[in-house]
Order: sequence, then C-alpha cells, then structure tokens
Amino acid sequence: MVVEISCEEVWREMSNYIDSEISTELGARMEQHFKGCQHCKAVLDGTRNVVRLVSDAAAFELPAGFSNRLYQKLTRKQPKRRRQREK
Amino acid sequence: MNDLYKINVAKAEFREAYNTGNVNRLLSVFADEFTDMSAGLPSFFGNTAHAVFRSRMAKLFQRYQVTLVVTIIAIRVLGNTAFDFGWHTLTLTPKGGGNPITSRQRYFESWQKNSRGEWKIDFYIDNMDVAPAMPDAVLPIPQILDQGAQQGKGRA
Repeated sequence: MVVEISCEEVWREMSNYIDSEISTELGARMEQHFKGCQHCKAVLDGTRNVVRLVSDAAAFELPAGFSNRLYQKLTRKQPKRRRQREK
Repeated sequence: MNDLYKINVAKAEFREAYNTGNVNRLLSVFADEFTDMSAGLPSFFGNTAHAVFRSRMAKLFQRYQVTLVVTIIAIRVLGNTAFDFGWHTLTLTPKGGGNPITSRQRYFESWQKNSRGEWKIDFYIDNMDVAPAMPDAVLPIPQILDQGAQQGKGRA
C-alpha cells in the first residue's frame, strides 16, 4: 500500500526528488501524489525547467561588456536613491 | 513512526477502504464517536454518525465501484490532536452498467490520538470543489447564498 503524502511534505522533498536523493518508498509516495495533484505536478515541472535552464550555460551567455555596463548603471543609480531618501 | 507518518498511513487506509468497498476497514479509521458534516447531508453526531455513515457507505459500495484519489494539502499535529485538509476525487462506476461519475470535494477533518497511540478521525466536513480562478477574476455569488437571498425577498 502506498502511503499518502501531503503537498507540504512534497514541496520539502521536491529538490531531493529531482536529484533522485530519496528512498524508494518516499519516491513512490511522491509519484502517487503527482498523479492526483495538478498543483504539485506544476511545481515539479516548473522546478525541473528552472534547473534545466540554469544548468544550460548557453541560455545565460551574456554579451561582451555586460558586467561593466551593469556595474556603471548601479553606481549611477545609488546616489539618486540616497537623495530621494533625504527628502 | 512519527505522528505525521501515522496520519498519512491512516489516510492511505481510508483511501484503500473506499477502493476495496470495505465498510469495516473505512470505519476503523474513524473514532467510535465522531461528527459528520458531509456536503448535501444533515449533520450527524456521536455514535449516531457512526451508524448513519455505515449504512450510507454500505449502500454506496453496493451500487458502485468506487475509486478515491486523496490529495492532502497539509497535516498539522498539535499534541494528541491533529487536522488535515485537501481534496477527495471520487469516481463512482455503477455496478449495473452506466457511465462513471466523478466529483471533487474539498475536505477538512480533525484527528484524535487514542490511548493505544492510534490516530482516528473525530470530525469530518466537506463541500464541492469549484474550478480554480485568478484572484482578480469576477466571481459569481455562490448559488447557495443567492438562493437564500431570493427566498428572503419572497418573505419580506
């Protein structure tokens, strides 16, 4: 008999489930839960997509000089915010 | 086995009792006296609830092959008392032939741990689930409130 598991428990173990770092018994309980719970299945699919995107270096290739431009922009914004706070 | 796991086991037993059409197995998950506020039915209390539930389930299992899918959202354990809530998706297939009927209820139940350390349901309530919607959606007035208002108008 597959023992029930709650959405809260599923969310806690989601990352370990994706990495196959859980027991066979817990894996079976989570799989049973995903069959009946569209909400958790959506969270699982979303998390898997994020993991895939982050691990794909090509998806995050930044244009040349991006870091420098970002730093300059942030430095320019900082005093402006301070001035607003002083008002 | 911690309390959270024990309640999960009891809830799995609840599911299996439905899926095997076994009334005694189902009642073994409930306390000897409990409160039953199932949707569309009068409320029953104490050992009356036990008797009514037995008779109701026996009739259901006689007429239908039942498939229950349980989705527990959360279980909260507070000492010897606990509660859980979620959804029950029930599919009834008529034994005499005919199309299956599927319904989905939102449920809430509370549990008590007895002197033997077993968790039993002592309160049950549910209502029919409604399709999900975004928070800014234009929601209709629930039918039951609308009917009540119409009846009130008639009396005035």
